[in-house]
Amino acid sequence: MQNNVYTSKSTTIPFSIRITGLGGQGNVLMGTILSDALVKDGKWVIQTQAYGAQVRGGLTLCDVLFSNDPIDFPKAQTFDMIFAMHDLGLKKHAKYLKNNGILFVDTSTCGVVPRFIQSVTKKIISIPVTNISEELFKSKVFANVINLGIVAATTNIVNHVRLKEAVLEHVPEKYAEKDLKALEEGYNLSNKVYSLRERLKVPYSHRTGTAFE
Amino acid sequence: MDKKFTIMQGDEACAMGAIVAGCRFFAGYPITPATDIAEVMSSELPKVGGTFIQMEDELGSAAAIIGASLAGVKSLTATSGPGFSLMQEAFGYASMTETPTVFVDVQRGSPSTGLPTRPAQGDIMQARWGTHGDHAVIALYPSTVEETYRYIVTAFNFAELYRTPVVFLMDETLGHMRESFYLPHTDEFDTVERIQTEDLKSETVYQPFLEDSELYDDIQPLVSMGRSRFHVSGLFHDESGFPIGESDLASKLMKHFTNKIKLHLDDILIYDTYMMDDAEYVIVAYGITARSAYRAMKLARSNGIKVGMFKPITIWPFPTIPLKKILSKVSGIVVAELNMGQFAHEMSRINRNMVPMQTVLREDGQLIQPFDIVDALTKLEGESEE
Repeated sequence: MQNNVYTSKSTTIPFSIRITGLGGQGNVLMGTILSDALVKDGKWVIQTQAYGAQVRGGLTLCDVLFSNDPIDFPKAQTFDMIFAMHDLGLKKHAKYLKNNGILFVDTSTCGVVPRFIQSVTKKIISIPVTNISEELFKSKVFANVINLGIVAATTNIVNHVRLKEAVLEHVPEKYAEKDLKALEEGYNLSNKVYSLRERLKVPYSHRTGTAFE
Repeated sequence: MDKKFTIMQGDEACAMGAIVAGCRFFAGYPITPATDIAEVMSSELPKVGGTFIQMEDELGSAAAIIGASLAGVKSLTATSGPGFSLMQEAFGYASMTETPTVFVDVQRGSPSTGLPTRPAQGDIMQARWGTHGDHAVIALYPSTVEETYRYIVTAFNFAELYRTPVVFLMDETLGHMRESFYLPHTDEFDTVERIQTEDLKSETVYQPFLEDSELYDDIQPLVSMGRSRFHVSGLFHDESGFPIGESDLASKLMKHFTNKIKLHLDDILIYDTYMMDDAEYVIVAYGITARSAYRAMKLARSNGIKVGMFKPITIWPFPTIPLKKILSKVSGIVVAELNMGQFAHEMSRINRNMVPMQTVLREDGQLIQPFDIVDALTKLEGESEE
């Protein structure tokens, strides 16, 4: 019998990523490609998304949870990494960042990073991804793939080769070349390398009922 | 043999599993959160020689799958709460005419159109008593994408074996969620196929509604139309299928409906228990809530509360006897579900005040947090200490 959710006894909290932005920026596609690449790496993954009419605009989000063990509870309340691809998303979701988490900000679409973030984390990566995409490809739509390159380079959560495979599975053939170029571009954009947190066990204070995640 | 580690959406797993089970006909009407099942079916069914129809509404969809099933093709429809309400009339017809069909209900929140993109487990009782009159029903309820893939095959097998409509309940979260799992090999599954006319023993004329068949215990297998000729009616009928109005025959048929499930409970009931060996408390949860409960159980265990878990897959008929056996050993029960207590009521009927019970209910379209269940457990523990 292979592993599944109900064979695992682990209480490890999965790593969590939230990608937020406006509908049409490719938030969900980015999450989909990232989760596929993680699965190719042998990680257990759960991907959920805001489900609605946001493909025509409006704030949307995509959550990716991954772990070395099967994931039982499919939602997260706080996140290890947050991608803000638009100002609305940054203002609304930045508060869900875990202490010492990593915040990615697309400075071409986002305003100032809220001050309180300074007390939460120092790991902020600000890159004008959308502008770079426009300069290189005369189109905004490659911003999400550039972002994927940035993740692969700065966090090492996902193998670069696997990510390439996953990108090719999901993008139309005629854009494949451009997307791979965008991925490479993102890969070389940031020279910061952040390590992810250690394995986290759920702390639970017995009797008082208070819990922290 | 290595299994493929893959990622799939819940709805997609439901559709792909159905094709493994031998489903070759899908009729449906798009409705969030079940649209993806229709979408996958529309692209996958033609590849295996199946038929996909988008019907004019849910009434038509349900009627179409009954017709297709009588014609000899394993059939499926998928809908959400509002559509499932519309399907109830045809559901009763499938029950009365003993037509094997599978109805997938990906539940959404609230009555009427409600909360289309939020989870709830409010159709539990509708799955059992949605259509009027006493009738046979089997309802399965998976909690992970892998289970969805596995148990949709079981749903088709039950439909064929017991000649009854089978409800396959899912949650919005499960339907829309993409999850990784080890994809089971198709040869792992045994599928039940229709019996052909030449396989029929001793009977010269095929009686579709015979109650004492030699073939599978007491249930006469359905032979596809075209291979045999018989009458199908929603009225009370005799073994040939023609309507009758005599009360003793009507009573015989009604008893047959209930007995065909009741007498095969050993084969039908599917449930899982976790960490029950030394458990002092038990959490009962099903569907997506079972995942909250599983985490809650691990958290409570790591804090020294000895707790186990009971997860029914066949929600109807409910595994009453196994749960009663568990209740006789534990000193408290927690029932968690995403509604205002539909199943908690059923639980208290089974429990009959044997042990103290706590409920964790939620109806705002969010999942039950594992800590809420742990809190209920600590309350139970507090009660038993007093």
